[in-house]
Amino acid sequence: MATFVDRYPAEAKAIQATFAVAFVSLGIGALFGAIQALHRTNVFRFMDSVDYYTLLTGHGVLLALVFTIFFLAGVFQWGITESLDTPAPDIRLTWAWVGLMTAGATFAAVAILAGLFPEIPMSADVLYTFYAPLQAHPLFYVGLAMFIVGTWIAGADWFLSYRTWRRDNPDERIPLQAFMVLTTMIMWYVSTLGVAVSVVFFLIPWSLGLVDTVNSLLTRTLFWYFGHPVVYFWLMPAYLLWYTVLPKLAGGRLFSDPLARAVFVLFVLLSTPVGIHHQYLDPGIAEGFKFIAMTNTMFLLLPSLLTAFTVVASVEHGARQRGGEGYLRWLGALPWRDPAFTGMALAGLMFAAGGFSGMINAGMNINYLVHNTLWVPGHFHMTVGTAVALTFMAGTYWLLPQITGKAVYSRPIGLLQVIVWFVGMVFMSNAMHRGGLLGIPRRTAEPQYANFDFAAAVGSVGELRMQIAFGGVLLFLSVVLFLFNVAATWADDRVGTPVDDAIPEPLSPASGAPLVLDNLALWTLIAVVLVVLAYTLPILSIVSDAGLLGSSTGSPVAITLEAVAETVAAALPGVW
Amino acid sequence: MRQLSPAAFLVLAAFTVPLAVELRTAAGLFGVELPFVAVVVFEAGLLLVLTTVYLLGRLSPDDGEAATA
Repeated sequence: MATFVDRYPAEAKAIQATFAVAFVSLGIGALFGAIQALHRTNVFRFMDSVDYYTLLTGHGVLLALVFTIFFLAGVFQWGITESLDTPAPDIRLTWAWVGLMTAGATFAAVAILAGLFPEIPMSADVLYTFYAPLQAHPLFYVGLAMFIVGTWIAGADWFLSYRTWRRDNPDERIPLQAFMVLTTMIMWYVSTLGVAVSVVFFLIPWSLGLVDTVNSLLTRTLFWYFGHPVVYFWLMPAYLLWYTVLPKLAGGRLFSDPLARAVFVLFVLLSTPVGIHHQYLDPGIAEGFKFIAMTNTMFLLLPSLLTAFTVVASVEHGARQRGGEGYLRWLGALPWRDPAFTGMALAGLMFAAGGFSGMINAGMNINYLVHNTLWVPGHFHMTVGTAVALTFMAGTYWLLPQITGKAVYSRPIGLLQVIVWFVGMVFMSNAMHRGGLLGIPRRTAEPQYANFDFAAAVGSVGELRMQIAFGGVLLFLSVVLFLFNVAATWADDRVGTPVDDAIPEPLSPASGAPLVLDNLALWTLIAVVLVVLAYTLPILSIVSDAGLLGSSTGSPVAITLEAVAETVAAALPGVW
Repeated sequence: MRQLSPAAFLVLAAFTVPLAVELRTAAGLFGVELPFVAVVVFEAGLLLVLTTVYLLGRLSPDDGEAATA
């Protein structure tokens, strides 16, 4: 039976290229992560602590930006081609964005890794958040700009495919996977404007010496304008796999297509006007704006809770189709021996825990307790580090056969790999959360202070350190198993039917969804309006306080509505 | 006894880890301070029970499961 590579060989080649870059980044980034875990916990140190920050930057950029975005680009290319049953409009355009993204990621990686060699006058130890006042070599920022432009061209490629399909199917509902790809890209276009302005207008000229100063708070704010929605750029492809692939793997069908569409629309609207919740402790932003960002953030829980309900209902349906019975005994009927299913299920479970710790981060008052502590990396290793990364690795066991025509080399190794990841992450993220509650800082190679010891509420700090080191080693081992399995699969011979790639129709089909859900222009407009409402006043106040290029006069900044009140009073003299 | 597949055994074994890791925190909520060795013993106990269930399922499966095996 023909699979994706037989029907769309040219597109499959491009997807193979994106996956290859993603997996190389995963290997290097995971190695850096293991070295950091051992260095920071003082279990095994072989490098200078100064280099810790180079590896930390490499770990963050290669895993959180390069691995995730290259992999999701491949998933989106597969999803749009498969669900629209339409080839890429011009495969040269597809290779153009693959090439531009690869060149950009390579430039950024070279700038980072050069920091390990003192004889090379180049470094980019700016961490994956890369805002001022930390400054990188211009090559790093130029690489990032190329990378982001590459994703924009990728989005244009997918919208062109959609336009071709729409011409031939004027009255059809947008197929669900294509709908998910397009809404995610709308969110991405809106959110990357912030980081593009920051990089092109401020950071590149600053790193080239064309301007002497930048407004640090402005670059931070523009980064976080993009920095929170990028979380959903990672997460929405994982949701695509949970909604459309996981129910099939469980033996069932998606519970509700309309609910899935509503969730993605909510993400388009709510992902971007929340970035200031990363800046609760920034003194230059008034508390009122932070409170608004917190309120918006809490609304974001809604689509995640809807997803939990829909995905679990779909999986339960699958289990009952396989003969599962009872309130909980149906869990035993699920295909636990399938690494694609088990990996995604474990990723979804850990995402629930990550969601709860995320609520702590999002609360203004409780955030003060955990801000800049180990709690934060503990949180995002459960979300992007497991919900996203483990879903992507598990999804590989189902997608790779489709784009190569080759069966997975070893499903038992795949199963062991996803379970080792889960166990490793339990050890590491649990200890990080608990360490964060003790006040242990993040982003430092030397978390010890003179004449001060962190006091553990339960156990000891030494035990937490061992837990982090052990978890980090298990995670690295899991990546080694994964890459071995992927390489062995790729090196194998093609087979007739490498995987059952048919995706069944949802139980509640698209015909039951209100037509307005497919109105992409409307959701784009509302998303832009919400962003304008959330960001205009904060950015105006930041710029009016310290100018576009810095020279801050001090903070916090008082925002007053006195002038507005006086204007209103003058216009309505009879009222006062 | 109901048979447990090797995959389900592995997954259940993985689920014992967070239970053991949080044992002392949970006990602390009730004012009980447990030593580190309690975690090791608890985890070993969970794995022992799980292994026993797995082996008994293999040695004496339910009638229906034996017929289809």
